[in-house]
Amino acid sequence: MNDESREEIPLKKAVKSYYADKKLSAEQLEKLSSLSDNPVSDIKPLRVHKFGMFPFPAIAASILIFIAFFSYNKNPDIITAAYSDIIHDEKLSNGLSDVHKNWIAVNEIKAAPSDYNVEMSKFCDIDGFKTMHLRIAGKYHGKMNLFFKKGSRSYRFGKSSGITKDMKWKVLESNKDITVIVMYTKDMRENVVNNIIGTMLPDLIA
Amino acid sequence: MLDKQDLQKLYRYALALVKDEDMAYDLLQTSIERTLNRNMATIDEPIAYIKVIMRNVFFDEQRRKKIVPMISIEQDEEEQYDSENMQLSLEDIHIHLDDIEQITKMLTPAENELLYLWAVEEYTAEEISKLLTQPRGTVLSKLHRLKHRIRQSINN
Repeated sequence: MNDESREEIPLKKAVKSYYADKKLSAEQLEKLSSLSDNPVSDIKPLRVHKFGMFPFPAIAASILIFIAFFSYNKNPDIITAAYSDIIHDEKLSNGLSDVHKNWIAVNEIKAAPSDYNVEMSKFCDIDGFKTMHLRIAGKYHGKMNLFFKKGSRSYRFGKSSGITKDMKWKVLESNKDITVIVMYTKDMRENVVNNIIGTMLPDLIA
Repeated sequence: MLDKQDLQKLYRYALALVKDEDMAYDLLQTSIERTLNRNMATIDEPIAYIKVIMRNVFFDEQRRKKIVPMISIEQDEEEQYDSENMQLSLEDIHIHLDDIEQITKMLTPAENELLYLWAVEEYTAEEISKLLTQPRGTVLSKLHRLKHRIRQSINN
């Protein structure tokens, strides 16, 4: 502890000094710099008619409504990445290995109900998030994928549920500091999905 | 669009809101992505714009989780009386450097944001009121309450 920390200094100076030490790591800084320099989207501004007014207000309104609807229904990138991972590992069938069983126990996640078979388990990186991926088969039909991530729900989700291609998805958070992305085929019943998640994470908060 | 100094500055602002380093990075990344999804030609001040996006994303999530702390109207009104003299007295507070972390932990996200804007960015009440889209009187009142909260924390 240095001498300055023991003597009283003005609040403003103390707060400045506190935040001066808080910095992005070199890796984070590089990632954000490249993100900022290479916009992911290249949305062109609507061209204004040369006479100053857009000629067809109804068409303009329809386009704006379509864009708003499309934006609202767009899935977060994390979900798109998770879906790709599911397709990539479709044929993988290693069950629940000891290392993954241990990870589950350490993070205070309970076992899936015994009626449901854990077909696959693996650690994977989903759009920059380290996750533990499980695939669980429905009793009669359907598949459910769970991506467990340590920590709070990312701000990048925006919304909490949606549909991507042939799967429904939702993001839930447990008060054991675990966030889980749940993705399941449409032939899997909602109450079965809720039962499995509720068993594995009894402390869901959202 | 943003240089490294801007990014560090925005990260510190995110940290003032969320208190957790990983979540601050997550909030900043999300806000930059959302900004880039807009028509950049229409954004005059990207840094100010990203700050507003960060606030909106953060407080929307707080509301979703229903964890925005409520402050009673009575308490707010009681503390209005000498708000015009408040800034001077906030300047007068002296603390130990190693107590600051404890103080930031005790404050709510909105209070931490206010403290950050006042101390680090050196915003005036007028500038804070523009960013928060709140009347200047409300900002002064909040700064006044902040002074009490910090004094309370020091005494504890």
